[in-house]
Amino acid sequence: MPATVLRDDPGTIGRAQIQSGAPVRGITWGAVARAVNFLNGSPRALIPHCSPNVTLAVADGVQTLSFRVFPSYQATHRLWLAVLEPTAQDEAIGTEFEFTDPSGGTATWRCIGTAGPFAPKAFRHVETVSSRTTSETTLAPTFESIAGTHVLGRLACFELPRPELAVDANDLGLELGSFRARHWIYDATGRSLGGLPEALAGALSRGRRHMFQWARPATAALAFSTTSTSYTSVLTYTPELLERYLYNGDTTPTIEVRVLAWVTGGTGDVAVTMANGDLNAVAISATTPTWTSITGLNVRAEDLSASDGRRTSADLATIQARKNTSGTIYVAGIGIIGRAS
Amino acid sequence: MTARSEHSRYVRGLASRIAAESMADTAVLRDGVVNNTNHLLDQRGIVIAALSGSWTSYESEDTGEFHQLYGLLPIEFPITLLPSGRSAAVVPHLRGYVSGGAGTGVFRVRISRIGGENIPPELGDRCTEVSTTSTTGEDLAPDPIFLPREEADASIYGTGIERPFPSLDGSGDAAVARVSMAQIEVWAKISSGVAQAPVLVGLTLREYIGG
Repeated sequence: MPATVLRDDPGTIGRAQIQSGAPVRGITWGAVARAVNFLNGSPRALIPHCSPNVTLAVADGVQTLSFRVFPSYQATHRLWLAVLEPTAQDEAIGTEFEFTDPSGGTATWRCIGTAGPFAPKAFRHVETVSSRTTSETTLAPTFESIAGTHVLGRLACFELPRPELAVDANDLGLELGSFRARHWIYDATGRSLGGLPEALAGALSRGRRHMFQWARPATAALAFSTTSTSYTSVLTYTPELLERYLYNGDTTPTIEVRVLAWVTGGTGDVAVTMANGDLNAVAISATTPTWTSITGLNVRAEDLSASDGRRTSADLATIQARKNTSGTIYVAGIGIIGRAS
Repeated sequence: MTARSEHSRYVRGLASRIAAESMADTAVLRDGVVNNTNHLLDQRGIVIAALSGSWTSYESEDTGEFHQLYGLLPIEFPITLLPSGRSAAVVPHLRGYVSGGAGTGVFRVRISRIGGENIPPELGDRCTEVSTTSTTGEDLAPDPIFLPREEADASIYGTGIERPFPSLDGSGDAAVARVSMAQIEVWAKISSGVAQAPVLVGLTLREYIGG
């Protein structure tokens, strides 16, 4: 029996029949294995819908957006969703936009005819992942306006579910047949009791990692920029963040932020201030686009007794940048990353 | 929802307690394996969206009628379906205001299958409402919304998003994975002040399964 992944949440694993001195029933072992396969093979957000809000003209050529992510090894396909809005419409030729996913697959998106002038349109693209890893990596899709000028208003990327996982140390699939009643218990990767800890640890780290993403092309013309020596908001909005409640006493656990930024000289700062009062900043001194980390941001964890999960109130993130002396600071990417464990 | 895990948290130290030559006693299984798996099921909700922009209905003359916010197309995402017969809660957070002077702007957030209904949303499990009189911007936290099972089933089979994906497990079998998709729409109206318009400038959406 393979490492099948159910489409829907498999439900609660019963514990009432797990009693001291009594054997654990095969049906319990099987329920655990099915649930862990579901956790390791189900959909996941790499880039929650974000707002690049960047205008791309033909003259801009190929532009890249960069996102720092922790992908799943299990994901073989990713669903990209985008919203484009032509800034004008030419009925004769329409407008045309080319998207290249991080694995090299391309899609041509056209806004013509019935779209009407200035009407936004939604597009979908499925990426076949060419190189699978669990290591932190940069997803760098490219965009090119072939005809007409477009606003890239929205972008998202979700890992798609697997119907079946491989029974190995990468996919962490659990072979359901090895959890049958009266089957012997043994220690082997992806099988029986010995396969469980590794697969469950994988499920833990595969949880809600990508809490916020935003990107613009890393060019002086298209990235966010400021010359102000006072903090200036990078975004026009303060997104709500809520981390998983994992361990006893979790109230404001520590998560991380990735910032793609650079300065024209000297130093600048990028700061994230949470509604819970936590403030973290990182100095930017690179003069070319460089990823920098903020490693100590505290955000509220879910309150499991609340109907909406909010611990007291929404924990909003204010993301700002400033230049410390003369010159300019540019910001082209922000990723807020939840705990792996 | 009542917590599925016995301890409502993740119990550490499992790997060192289950290994070759170690006895897997009842406590290890109950606390470490069953509890932790149930807790991870409760904590697997995703962040759907964190959007910023400026969207309005431009329909201030139709006081009392909801209109979809122009430019904010339905937000599609893979939804978590629970054994209870409905989806995980989707928790919205909005920032909005009223432009053009004093008035009351009302926002409704609706979840539906892909394709939706394209009619103004009615309040209920699938639709939540929040209002503001702010003329500069107010953070708004309406109630969570849920997609009922019957609509979710329609999303699975009737959206066109499902497609065959080859299994890469080495077996060479052509397996099919289906993904349950849903969409979120935001509608708005002015309930007083005919010369004004509701404006949405920020929207966060996240799944919450609970505990």
